[in-house]
Amino acid sequence: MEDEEDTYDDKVRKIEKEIVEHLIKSPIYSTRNEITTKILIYIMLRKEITQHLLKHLTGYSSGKISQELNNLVDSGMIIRKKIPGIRRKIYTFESVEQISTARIKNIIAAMLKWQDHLDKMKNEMETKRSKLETMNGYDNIMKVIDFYLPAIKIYEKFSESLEIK
Amino acid sequence: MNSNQAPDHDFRFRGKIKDYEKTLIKFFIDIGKNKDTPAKIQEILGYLIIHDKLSQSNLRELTGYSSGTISATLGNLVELGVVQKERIASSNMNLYSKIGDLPKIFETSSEVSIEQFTLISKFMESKLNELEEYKGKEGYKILRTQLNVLLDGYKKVMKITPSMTKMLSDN
Repeated sequence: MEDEEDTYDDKVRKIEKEIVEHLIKSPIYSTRNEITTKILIYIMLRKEITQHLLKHLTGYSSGKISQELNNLVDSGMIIRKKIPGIRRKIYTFESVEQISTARIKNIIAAMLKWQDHLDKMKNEMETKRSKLETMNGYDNIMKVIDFYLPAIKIYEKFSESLEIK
Repeated sequence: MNSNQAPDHDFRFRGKIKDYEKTLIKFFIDIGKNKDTPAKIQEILGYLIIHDKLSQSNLRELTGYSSGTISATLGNLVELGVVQKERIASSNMNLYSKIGDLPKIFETSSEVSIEQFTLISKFMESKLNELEEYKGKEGYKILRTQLNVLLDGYKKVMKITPSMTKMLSDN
């Protein structure tokens, strides 16, 4: 794969750019970090791409792209491949479902990390109820914990169902 | 509380309750990192989830962000349909709230996702048609293939989303 310059026809590249810009503005992606999203979309549209070409297409610095690519590889959303005979590595992805599943699993893993913490907070609030419940905000905090603790368990179950699939 | 009046609770929590609030905000920010959602968005959404309704000045005091940042972020969230605003009676101020009660948040977001995936798919189909004009040009084949891969993938993702919503509503 030629990785020093973009060989795409100008008109095709223009359509590709319009797709990238459109997706970034879509509510599906627009609450996310724009740099990560742009890189991820280019990887999905090119199927495989080098860091060098990503720099050329996005205009971001090599350092920034490298950091974002490492995060995406670590989160399991994309794959880094070394091609024999080519010094540069290429970045690719397995499938759209894999990207979505990896993302959901990462969110669930982060939630599970907080489960014990929220549990302890709830226990403490119940133990010290007589002292705390008259304080402003007690019900607000309890309502949020009472929603998220069971929700985390459901997410865990959902995560297991993704493993089975 | 009347829906279009100022919040009747004091948004300034104190002591141990303030500590719990800070912990919940850290929780929201941490979850956001894994969704690639910027911390300021998660922080503002977190405070709206905890307090139900807040004004821009309440949020400015709670988060320490500038008026411009709060205003731009809320504007974006309103446009996305994640947050709604309502005018406080006999005042020029608006109150902001996360759309849906807590248990409904996931249903709302999954409905929004399906609607948005459908819109994205339609856009991609129009780009596929446009691309046909450049058949044989460099890049045509890969872009055409990948757009079809994405369209197929979005269809599969749209099937996963309702199953998660069902699990949440069944419990």
